[in-house]
Amino acid sequence: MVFDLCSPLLNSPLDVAVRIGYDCFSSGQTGDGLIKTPFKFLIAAVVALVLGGAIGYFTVDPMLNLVTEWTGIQNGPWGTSLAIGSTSANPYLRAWIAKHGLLALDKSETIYLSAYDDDNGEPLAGDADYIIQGRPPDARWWSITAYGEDDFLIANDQNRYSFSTTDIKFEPDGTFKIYLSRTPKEGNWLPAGEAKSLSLSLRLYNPGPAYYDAKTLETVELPHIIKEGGR
Amino acid sequence: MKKWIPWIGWTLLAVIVVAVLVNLVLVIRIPNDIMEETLTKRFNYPRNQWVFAPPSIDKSRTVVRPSPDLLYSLCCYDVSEYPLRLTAVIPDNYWSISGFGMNTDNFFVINDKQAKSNPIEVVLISEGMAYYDSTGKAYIIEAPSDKGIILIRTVITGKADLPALMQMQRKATAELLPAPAE
Repeated sequence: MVFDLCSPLLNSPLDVAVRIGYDCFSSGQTGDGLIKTPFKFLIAAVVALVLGGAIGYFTVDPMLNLVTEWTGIQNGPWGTSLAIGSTSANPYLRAWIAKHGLLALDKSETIYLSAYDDDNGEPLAGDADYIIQGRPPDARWWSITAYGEDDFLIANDQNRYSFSTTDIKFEPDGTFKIYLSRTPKEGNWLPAGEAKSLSLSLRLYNPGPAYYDAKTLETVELPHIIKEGGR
Repeated sequence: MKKWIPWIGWTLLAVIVVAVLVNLVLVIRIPNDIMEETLTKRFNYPRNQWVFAPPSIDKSRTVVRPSPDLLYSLCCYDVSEYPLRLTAVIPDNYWSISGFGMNTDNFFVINDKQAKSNPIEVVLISEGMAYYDSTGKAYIIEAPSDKGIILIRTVITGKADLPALMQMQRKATAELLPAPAE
């Protein structure tokens, strides 16, 4: 039996697809090969759909993280993207923000920087002590907030989750120090509660111009995150 | 064996194409799915009304990474049929009103320094809807999707200020306006 694209037997899209599959895989076979080739094509289609579908599905989160990291801006331990909240965000960044920072404002209003590591590149651990120190960022209002591994605020007896322009105590030289730890500290103590791993958000509302440009944002001074006893 | 080489090659190519397409389709759907889930489950509030949230604490589990230093007022809008008029009293410190479409894009934001009146007035309309503001005070904003979220952020300037800020927060209003003339 020989198929022909003009044959009345090929009157449905499926028939044509099978024929195209035959053309792709048969390498010019004729005769008996014609009967087997459509099965090869069907097997290939099933393999492509099942395997391709599974790969596409299970690589969603890794791809979101990868693309966000590629297109993001890193300054020391702090990372961000100037496309957050923007209509110009690529689909991967938009999806990442929807999952990790829903209802984030556009850069024209707020810059959100996140830190998951300390200055040495080590992940922030709940059982370690850290000092977050630096000069106040150039912004109308700013805050530093600690989150647990679930991206929510960390339960603690003090109900202290952050420090901001409003309530932080400055050093005599105008700098600030925030102590992130499980055990109480004098000064600006940000309790780590029982969180296993930590992350920080630095929010800059109406920031200065240096924060709007990707190149200056990479070099502008941001708070250091230093592990106590780590240096 | 030679006969199998093109077969394997085409199959691998098809696997890659399907993987890329599936990945892209799922990624494109994520923001809309999350907003839909947020509007129907997490923020299953009456449409076109303000909801005044207390300051975020560790038990606040509605939205990830909330700011404990802000008071949030939230309105789940639906302007598919009528324009929505929103007003709010602006305090002396940082304050903003912003809109988020179903694709999670922040399609407008106005802060306290930019607001042209206090109370501020915003009229939200759907794409293609006409609205004329005779007072000239209102911001006429065209929403990119019929449904979405309007959010007001108010900086909490201190525990002592909280009662007054919450009282001010509750002065915000939301009302659907009559359908625009054809």
